[in-house]
Amino acid sequence: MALAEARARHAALLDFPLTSDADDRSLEALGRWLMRFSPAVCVQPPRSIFLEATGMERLFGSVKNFRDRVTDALAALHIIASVAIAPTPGAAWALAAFGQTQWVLQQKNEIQPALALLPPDALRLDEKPLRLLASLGVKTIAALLRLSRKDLAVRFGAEILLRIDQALGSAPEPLTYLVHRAPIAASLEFESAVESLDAIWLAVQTLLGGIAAQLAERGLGARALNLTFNQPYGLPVHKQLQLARPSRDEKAMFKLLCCALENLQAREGFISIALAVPVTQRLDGQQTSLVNAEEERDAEALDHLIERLRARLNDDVQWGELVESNLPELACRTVNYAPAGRAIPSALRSAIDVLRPLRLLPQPRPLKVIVMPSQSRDGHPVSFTDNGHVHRLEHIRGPERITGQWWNGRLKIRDYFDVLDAVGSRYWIFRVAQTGRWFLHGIFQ
Amino acid sequence: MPELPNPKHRPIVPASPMGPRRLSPWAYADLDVTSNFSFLRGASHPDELVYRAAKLGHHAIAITDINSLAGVVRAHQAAKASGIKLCIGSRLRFDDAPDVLVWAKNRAGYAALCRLLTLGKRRAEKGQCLLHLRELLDDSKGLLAAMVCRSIDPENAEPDPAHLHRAATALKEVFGAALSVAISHLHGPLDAMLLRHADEISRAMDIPLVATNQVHYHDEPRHALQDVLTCIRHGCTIHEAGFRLFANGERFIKPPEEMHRLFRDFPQALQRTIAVAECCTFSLEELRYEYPDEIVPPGKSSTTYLAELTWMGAAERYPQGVPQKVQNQINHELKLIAELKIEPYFLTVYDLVRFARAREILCQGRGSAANSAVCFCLGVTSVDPNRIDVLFERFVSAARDEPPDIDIDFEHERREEVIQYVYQKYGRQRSGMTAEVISYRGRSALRDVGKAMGLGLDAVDALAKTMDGWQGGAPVEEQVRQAGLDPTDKTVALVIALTTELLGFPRHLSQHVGGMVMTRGLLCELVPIENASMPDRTVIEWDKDDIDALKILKVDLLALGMLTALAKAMTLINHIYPADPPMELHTIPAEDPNVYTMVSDADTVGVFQIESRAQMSMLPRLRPKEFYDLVIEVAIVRPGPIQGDMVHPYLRRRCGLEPVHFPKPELKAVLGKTLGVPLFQEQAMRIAIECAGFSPAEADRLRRAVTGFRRFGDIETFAQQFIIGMQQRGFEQDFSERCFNQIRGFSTYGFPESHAASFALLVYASSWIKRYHPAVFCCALLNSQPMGFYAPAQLVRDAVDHGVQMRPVDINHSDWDCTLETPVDLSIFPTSDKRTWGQGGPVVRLGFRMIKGMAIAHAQQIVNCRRQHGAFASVDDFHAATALPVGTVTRLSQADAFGSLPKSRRVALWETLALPEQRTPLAKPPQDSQDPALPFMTTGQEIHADYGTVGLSLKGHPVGLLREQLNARRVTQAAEIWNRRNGSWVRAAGIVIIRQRPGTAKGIIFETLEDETGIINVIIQPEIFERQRSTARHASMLQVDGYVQRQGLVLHVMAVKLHDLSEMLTDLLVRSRDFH
Repeated sequence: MALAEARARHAALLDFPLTSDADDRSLEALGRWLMRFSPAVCVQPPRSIFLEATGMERLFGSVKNFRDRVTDALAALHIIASVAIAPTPGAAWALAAFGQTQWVLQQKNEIQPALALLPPDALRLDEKPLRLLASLGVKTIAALLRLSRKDLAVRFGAEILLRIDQALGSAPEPLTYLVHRAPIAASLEFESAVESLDAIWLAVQTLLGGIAAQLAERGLGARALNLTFNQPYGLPVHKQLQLARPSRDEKAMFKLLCCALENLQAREGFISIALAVPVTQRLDGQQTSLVNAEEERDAEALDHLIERLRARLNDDVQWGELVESNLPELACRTVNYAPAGRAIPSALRSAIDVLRPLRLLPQPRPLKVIVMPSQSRDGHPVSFTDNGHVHRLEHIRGPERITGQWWNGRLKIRDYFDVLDAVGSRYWIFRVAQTGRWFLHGIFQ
Repeated sequence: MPELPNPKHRPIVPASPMGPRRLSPWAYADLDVTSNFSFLRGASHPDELVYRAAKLGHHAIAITDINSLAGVVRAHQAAKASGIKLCIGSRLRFDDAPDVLVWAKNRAGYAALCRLLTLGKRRAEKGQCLLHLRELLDDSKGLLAAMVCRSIDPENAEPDPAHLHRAATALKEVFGAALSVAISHLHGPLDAMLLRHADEISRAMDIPLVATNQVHYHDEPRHALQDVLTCIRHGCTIHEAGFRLFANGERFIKPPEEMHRLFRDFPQALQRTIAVAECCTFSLEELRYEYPDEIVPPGKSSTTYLAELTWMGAAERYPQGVPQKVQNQINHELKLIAELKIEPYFLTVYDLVRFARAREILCQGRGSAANSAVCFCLGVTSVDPNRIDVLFERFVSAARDEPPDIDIDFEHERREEVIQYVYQKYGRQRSGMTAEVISYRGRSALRDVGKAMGLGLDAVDALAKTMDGWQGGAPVEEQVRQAGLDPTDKTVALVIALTTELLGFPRHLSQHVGGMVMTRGLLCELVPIENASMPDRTVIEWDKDDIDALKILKVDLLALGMLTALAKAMTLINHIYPADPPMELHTIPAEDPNVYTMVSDADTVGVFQIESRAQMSMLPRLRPKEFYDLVIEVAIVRPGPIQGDMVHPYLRRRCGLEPVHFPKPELKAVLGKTLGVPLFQEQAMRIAIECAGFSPAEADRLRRAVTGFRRFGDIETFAQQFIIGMQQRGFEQDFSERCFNQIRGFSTYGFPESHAASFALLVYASSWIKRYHPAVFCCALLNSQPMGFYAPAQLVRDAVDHGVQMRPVDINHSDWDCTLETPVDLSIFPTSDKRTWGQGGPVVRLGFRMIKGMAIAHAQQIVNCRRQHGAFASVDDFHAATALPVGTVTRLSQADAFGSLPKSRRVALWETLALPEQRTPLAKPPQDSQDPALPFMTTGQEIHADYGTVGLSLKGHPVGLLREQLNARRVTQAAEIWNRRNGSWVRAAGIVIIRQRPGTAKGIIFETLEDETGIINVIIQPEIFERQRSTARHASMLQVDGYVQRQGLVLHVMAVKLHDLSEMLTDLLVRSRDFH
């Protein structure tokens, strides 16, 4: 059913886009978490996790108890799961997928009777053979097993026999288990509280050396660093740092930490320091392009500068960004710095910018202006008075007419003039067409 | 859904009264004007621009859309009405040069412009135009030009001075004194620089400057809409649009004095606008339409040729001699045709019909002039003037200076042949399809504006949905709130206001369903021609209103499914009875009482027009007895008479419950045939003249308003005049309002008597075939799918009910099409019992076309192989002989097409699956170890599988399988319900085969259910529908609890509660045909 049709049927329908990648990552995370129940965990996206149960009865008292503990743990996490135990992965999958969780199979000869009444779908077959089996009226595994193996192989290929055998235990099914991965972290404990900053710096350097080695071993770079300083009595002091690009360069990271730790207070000293890398990114095989090497270097240098500024200013780094807008005061805005997305000005932008002052007043300032012909609503300015100073205008250009953003309810029309006074200062002034009032908006350097 | 007036036919009348035309003392003319026919750029209609310029006292105006002349006819009509001079031109955009404005000095210049645009459009994709400056320079006679020195898109860089210089040099060389350089004061930041560049070029090369304002809308407030259009064009929101928007709103038509103030430094540029405008003497009035002349053989005049053909045809039509009445009529009509000089029109139509007949393509004319004696003799229609008399003058009147109107319906599967014949006969330079201007309607406008204003898609959709069929203006606050939006929100208010403005704006050109234009001279010198999205089609830039305004000949070539079915049916009949004279539409025995009895019993599944539920419930009340009754039947179940509440008065009079009287004695001649009740469009017009005091010219304007040519005013503008006119002449207000309501009704589905008569003939022909050859009828309808009201399952079931024997699809017997089998047994005589009509007749064998997903090429491969190889002996034999892909064989076995082997569906599938995809000549079929242990199928499973693969089952009805469950729910069978008393409570259940929500029924839903014993008609009142919307709209199987409502032979169940039983059908593929 198409989404549009589903929506038409149920107005209150909520829909979410399918995020297979994220789902697969979550499944893997769940698999890692389940490693507390069994050392051998295999994750098979989109929705299966296999746990090796052999030997677990000794740890959990019985296989049944093992299953119940896993089931309860998942329920506590609000994960709706169906857990089954069988001598083969295929049989366990079939029982779990079709909700036959009351079975705890321990012998291979128990499998066939347990699966007999389940549909062939329980054998993890492809969609096409399943559809054909349904057309043939083969509704249960028992009916499927009544057909000759040779005939089945001719029609559906060897795959179907393999799946049957894997479920019944007459063919092996090797699983790929998750490999245990320790978090990247290092810590140092002191015999007594250490107050000396030099000693602390030294300790941090040692820790950095440790994690850099770990990162190098896995081909990763750090995208964030977490430092924890434990005091003998007070609460631990935490520092978190974000890195603009993945790094395992000890010196660069140390410099950055120095910036961040400038105002570290060590009144009572610290008894231990821990450094962890919560976010990593692959860093191997970095390719530097030949053509843009220089630009790339500039960008990297800029990133390092910004990293250091952020470390020192507690992340409060703003970035000026050009905005395509016909209204001059909206043509630039400050945003929280994000490493990507520095826009290149368009051709029109470059053409207009020549005609615009570099400095705009934060608020346009009201002016008194004498126009020619006088009283005319659209006469040209002859002189203006600003803060008591009279500027006699030698040269004017304009008007350039800019209409407000009607969609924001701003309907005023401004006529801008680019004016030069007798002493050679250049200003950008405008008149509001509707009211005839004048303002100074910018000053040319 | 109710049909609403189509905004694209917006009348071309000024928004406010114009007053006398006054020229401004400040001489100026806007020559660079972009209308909304530069799609998603211009923010005003061409006529709005023209009226505005006229009102401001401009001396002239040009419409210069981008590479297009699509809006000029509308502008021309407005210019004519307001007295301002209009220059016809275009803004040419080149691949290799700055934009150039061109205006047609004279007819030759106009032709050159059309040729150039045709060239650019024909080689580009649909809707695009690709031009090079060279092409303008090569063919520029009669054109004035102005080079534009600034870009029309604000986000683009301004043209480079060197580039401008080069283009100016090339243009100057060819255009000489006819060239100008266009300059504008748009209050932009670069104005001064651009003016300087232009001025330099002008001085250096001695090219005069011309002032323009790059007009994009007629008045200042449209600035906002123009910004929104820009956003729609770029697919962005107003917040993201940035530099793509104009920085200010100066591109409107300014008062001439303002233009003089702006250009005070360039008075010569203002003067030049007048000089250019004066030089453009061309007007669209000069476009004289000329009929193509190859339709008359050399050495003959069209008058003598038409007369010759007519009398020849008459002799053929009436082998016993032409009746005196017909002779008189022919003479009379020929005289009138000669007076109006429209012989070529009839000859053109004749030519098309002759071609179709030579190719054995069934066709029939309809429309105003089609039911004339001349057209009958020419073979354009089969409605015998002896059988019906419609006054010819009523359609082709000497007072009306316009070509008559004939539409020709062709078999829907073969119409393309006729269209290609026209292209081939007249060439693509001289013929093309009419355009259809696709305009913004409520929903599309709201969607686009909402998106541009940054509303979320969900919000826009929700709003669009609650405002179904909205026609602008302030929506009810409640509706906005229902959509989850705040009606007081400024953005929402803006969206609604802007959407109202956008309604009726053209969005793109498409092709008209069948209107073709043919000319004597080159069509591409009359109007630009572009490619259609369909291959081998070319379309002109003007729509039917434009063509009508310029009096250009158009013939509508339409596609009609029933003609395909009739053609196939007659071929089959001629094949079965080779001894009888071949059957044609006009040789079908007329006025057969058995046919009328069948029709009166509403036994009309599959019959043209009268098969719909509304028609079927009318038939037993009307009880047609002769041909004219069918004409009335066709016309009466239409929005016109229904909205005019004329149906019941007519029925009462017909049953003698009410005396026949005429609103005015003079109307007896007009209304006599319909017992004094106006049912046809012509009669309503007649009443306008006789009873409401309309002059014939006014009545004609009203007629045009009704038939969709709304340029001259909306129907509503006539309402007061009509009703007051009737009251003044002593008619009751009630009757006059009803008469006008009827006219309103006609406007949505105009149905004049002449159309009804043409349709009635097809009704009769299809009824006759159904009555006497039910097997043929079923077979022909199945072979013409998709068409008509019912799905194949219902058609087959109806045939079976009439004693026709059906056989399933089979690899050893079927063709692609359904076929007829076994010789006819003439010893069995059908009685009046309908169940005997098909007995002894041919048997219908379903064809491979019934199998879903089957390819025609594969079916033909099977038939060819069978011819050489003989009957197939096994699945393997079949596959070896035909070498079809295994997938196709699988489909055949799943469709149970191996029944004659005999192999059950499952066994055939089992064997199919063992087939090798690639066959080697020596490979032996794989030997199965034993009989497969496959379970047998129950009848229920068989029926399910049949529906899944063929869409119907000859083994039983799916609802029959559920009878026990339904009995438990205390559901009554359809056949039993027909015996119930009026008002009794029943529970009915069945597959939903049809859903309808006619616009005339005030929100009432009609659903038709089918079970194994028959059909049940259900009526769902709006309150019930609102309560159970989802069930009513989507259930594939429905249980309805309600009351029986019967009137004579008509029976409905009035729903009180609905139950969705779709679950019971699960894998069954059943889809209703939904008509909204």
